[in-house]
Amino acid sequence: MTTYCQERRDSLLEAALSGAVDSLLQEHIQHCQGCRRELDALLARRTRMDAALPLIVQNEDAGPQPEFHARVMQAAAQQEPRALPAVWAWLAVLPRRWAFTLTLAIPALAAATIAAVLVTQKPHTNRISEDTMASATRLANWQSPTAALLETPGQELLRSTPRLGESYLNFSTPTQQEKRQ
Amino acid sequence: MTMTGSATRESTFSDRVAESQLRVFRIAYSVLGNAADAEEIAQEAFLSAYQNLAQLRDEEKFRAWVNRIAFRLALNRQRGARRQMARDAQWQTLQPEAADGARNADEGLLVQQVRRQIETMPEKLRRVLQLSLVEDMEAADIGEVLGIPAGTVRSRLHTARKFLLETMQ
Repeated sequence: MTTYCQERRDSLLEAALSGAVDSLLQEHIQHCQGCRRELDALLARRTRMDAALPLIVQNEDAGPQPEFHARVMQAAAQQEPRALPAVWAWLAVLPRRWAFTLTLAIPALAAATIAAVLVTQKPHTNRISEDTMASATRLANWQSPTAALLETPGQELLRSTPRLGESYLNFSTPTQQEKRQ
Repeated sequence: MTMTGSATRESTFSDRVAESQLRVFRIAYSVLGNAADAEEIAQEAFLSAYQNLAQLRDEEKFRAWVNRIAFRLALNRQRGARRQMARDAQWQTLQPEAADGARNADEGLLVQQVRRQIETMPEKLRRVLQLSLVEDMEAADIGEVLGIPAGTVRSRLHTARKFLLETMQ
């Protein structure tokens, strides 16, 4: 197991991949035996990797059978190419730039039309007629004819905070003398 | 369409199949790792292209178009197969097929090992590396298949190779 400077790992990998050692690493490996050995090991590994990679896909068996072409053509002869839908066929005969513009313009136009329809058809829920507003105001201000009978001295008393030692119950009541007057 | 038009179309298509069949097969093979499945996908890709020829505005784009169809079909096949879990196990056992092309047992083992390492890569890196293994697939071709710029392809390819170099024994 080679021991090398871990902080040089990336430089060693880059050097092994590119096959070029930069001056800093060159200077380092002149003094560091571990890194020199690791670089040699990586270079050997790269050689093996480069030898193995093409074999993955380009080995002798990795090709279609000799009858492949005939089989494809036979299958193709049994089916007709699909015709383009009318709109696309129409676009296909136009110059490329026009076709591109139209391909963008048609959906944009459709989206704009839908948006316009939605906006114009939207119910105006926020508008309230004047009659409705007047009725609502009348209703809000309405008071029962007997509401005055329900008023008590306590209502007035409850509007102010009692002082220390006082109570809501200690409201003044007129004396007999005051009543007579 | 007239008979002449139909014959011309078939003749042109035949030339295109002959020119692209190995590449299309290998694109599928790079994803599936199985010759039988790859051939099936390649045939499906050509038939799909033939059926939809009318959609192809620029005939020069046929190559990129059929590459993309084959890659998508292969990915779909792989994903469907993986859902069953069985295919994944089969993929692993089919590795010797890839090794058959290797000159000796050591080379075969090395190929198997590299394949296993590729499978552990993040998908973005794996796809780029797999497609780069197909002959005459340049960065621009790979970019067209994956829908990414050629510069991104080169960057991911470098990262993938670095990943592989680091993880290989």
